Amino acid sequence: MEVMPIERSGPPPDELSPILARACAGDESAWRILVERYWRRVYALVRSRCGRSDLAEEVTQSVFVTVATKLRDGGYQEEGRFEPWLFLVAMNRLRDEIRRQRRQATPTDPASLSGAVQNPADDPAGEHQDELDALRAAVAQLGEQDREIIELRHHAGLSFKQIAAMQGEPIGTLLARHHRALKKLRSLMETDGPTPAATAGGRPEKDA
Amino acid sequence: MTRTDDHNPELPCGLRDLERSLDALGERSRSDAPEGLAERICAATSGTITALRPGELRLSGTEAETHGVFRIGRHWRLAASVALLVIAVVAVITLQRPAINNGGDTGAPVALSDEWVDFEVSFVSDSGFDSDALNSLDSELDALELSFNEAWTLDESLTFNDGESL
Repeated sequence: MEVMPIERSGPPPDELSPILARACAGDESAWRILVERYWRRVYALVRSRCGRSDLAEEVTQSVFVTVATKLRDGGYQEEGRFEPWLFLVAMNRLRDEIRRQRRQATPTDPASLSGAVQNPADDPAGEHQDELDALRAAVAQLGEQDREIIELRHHAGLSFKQIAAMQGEPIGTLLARHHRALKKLRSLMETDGPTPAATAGGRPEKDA
Repeated sequence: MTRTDDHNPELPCGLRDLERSLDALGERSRSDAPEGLAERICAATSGTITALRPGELRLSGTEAETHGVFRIGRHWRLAASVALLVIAVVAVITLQRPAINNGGDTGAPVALSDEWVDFEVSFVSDSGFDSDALNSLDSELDALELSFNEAWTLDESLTFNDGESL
């Protein structure tokens, strides 16, 4: 499996600002660079939050449509905070979509909205990564704030500084929250154990 | 995975292992992203981005080149145009108001005495008399008066009775 490294510090401002300026001016190639750089990270964050790949694709596409529209209409002021702003848009769009899904009152397994675990039987590669599945299930059991910082940090690949800018909180608060979240995760994993049956709970993923 | 100095310094060793597992989970999530999604995103946003190409109404090229995001929105440009138009109309009306109030009195006010002078001049010219003519008329009248007086002077030699003096 190809590992997708991320640069938590993000590209230097002097690299990103010219690309942003060109994209705002209608340079399609510059916009494609931005999409290629961030689409996987946005998808991973959304997928972890909602637990559904089809919904994650829809929301990810909606996020970039929103970003393109805001860049066109001058809704973004370049201050070297594009990444926090991008993922803030992603979180807002995801919350809107989850609320919309719940209002529709479709017979959806609530667990699928909070991050259901993918049924290992659906794994096309036939490999069961029990530890990662158990870890994913444990993350889904965290409280909202703890889960958010874990997903922003490890799925979206944001630095603590970027998360602080995004949430408007001091870095020390985020470090403490991250520390607490990791302790809770370790406790959950020690309690539940890395068993696929316990993590999946017999709930198939709700894919379209 | 590229790490920077952005890390939680308070984590004990056990939790650092868990953090590395979470990083691996995140990498798995990113690698599971469907390959065609990027193309679908570009296709969905192409129209929005190309609407910004040169030729569209925009601010100066310098601003678009430096940041571009400081471009004034279309609604703000329209509002500014309307405001300038209103200001121009008000200015034109204000500048023309003194001329409107003054009406035809654009020159120096005409003195009443000047009109009498004009009337006298026109009266004299219309009546056929001028100053020289009036003077000659006076001379003629004086001559007539003199001759009249002379005609009425009695000749002492003339009497009404024969020989009888008065």
